[in-house]
Amino acid sequence: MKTPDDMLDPEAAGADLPDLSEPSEEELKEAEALRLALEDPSRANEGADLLRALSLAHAPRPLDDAAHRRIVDQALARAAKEREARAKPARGVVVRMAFGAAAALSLAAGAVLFMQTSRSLDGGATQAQIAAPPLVQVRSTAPLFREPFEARGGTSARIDRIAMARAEDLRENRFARWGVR
Amino acid sequence: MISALPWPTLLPVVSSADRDVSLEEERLLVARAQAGDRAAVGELLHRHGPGLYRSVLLPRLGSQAAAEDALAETYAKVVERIDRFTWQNVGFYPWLRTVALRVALDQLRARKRVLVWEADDVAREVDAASTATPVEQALSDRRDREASRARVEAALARIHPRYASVIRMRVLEERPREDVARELEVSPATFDVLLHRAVAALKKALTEASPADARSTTPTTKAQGRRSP
Repeated sequence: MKTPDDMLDPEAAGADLPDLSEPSEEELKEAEALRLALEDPSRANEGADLLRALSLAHAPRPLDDAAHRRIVDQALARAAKEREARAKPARGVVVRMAFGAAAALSLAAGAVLFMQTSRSLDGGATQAQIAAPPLVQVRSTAPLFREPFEARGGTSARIDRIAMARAEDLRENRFARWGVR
Repeated sequence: MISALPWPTLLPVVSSADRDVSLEEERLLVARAQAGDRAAVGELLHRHGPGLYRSVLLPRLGSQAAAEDALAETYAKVVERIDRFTWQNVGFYPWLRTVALRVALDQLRARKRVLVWEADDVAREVDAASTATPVEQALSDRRDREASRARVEAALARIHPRYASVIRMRVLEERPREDVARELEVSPATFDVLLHRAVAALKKALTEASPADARSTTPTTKAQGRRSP
């Protein structure tokens, strides 16, 4: 039987000088811990995690159908709950309006409600504006050309430079709109 | 470990007419989803999610639990922001992939352990997603799988060839420990030590590899620079 060192080809060993020493007690313990962790994924071991990551990068396994269905259902349920939570204050306003329909108070209640609604709408718009990422604005092409123009020629190159810069702006704006920037 | 499943090497042949029908169907699904139809959102996620998990999230995050968390987070973002999506001729997948890459990037940044993919690598992919022309899922999946395999090969090319073959046989080929030990003519206990040393060498190589090396080093070029045993 060979030792770990025999396994290392002496010619190739010169390339990166692998460890040629006999295993220490500590190393034997760590090797055993790695073996156990590879056999039982519930055991925490950084080396085993790295080897599993390597295996999954090389040949990733498909996601179980049931697990995927659960994840989709959770995402949809979470979204519905959030939508419901956002809708609750609006329902409260409607109820208040119904009760405030009494003759003497209807006009005053309506006015108050109108003012509150418009104030909250203004606030909402401001928040949305703050949350939305800024878009690249229309601007001069002058900063794209620091060098002086030649007397003749170079038109296509200049147009290309402008087109590339603006295409990049367009992509940035699209990603900002999509919310993935 | 679970046994490795073979990957198809060729893209399925889809006629142009079938592709157009499928895209039109998806465009309508997206429109319904944007109008608040939950079933349509679910259909879109069922259509693209498994591929996204397998080709993008699982290889980059390196664990089923992390990849499932990232998929759930991606779906939550998609459901919340689907009204911002603008339809393109290649369908819904490129947008979904970009959202998923951003989620994966956040997870990798928060993680301290060494993995095959580093946060910087994924950050570059996010940048590429904003500049490259979007492609449909079949092609995107194939590119993602090839990129992951190339990363694994590049990582193994950075360590001693014997260590690389120990990892390859035991982990990538998923051969039993005793079989590999027998083939290498060592006792199982000695094989354990070898594997432990191989992991330590791999961890060191991954930690030391600069982002520039990771980009420019292909398995072929690296192997050429090393003497063969």
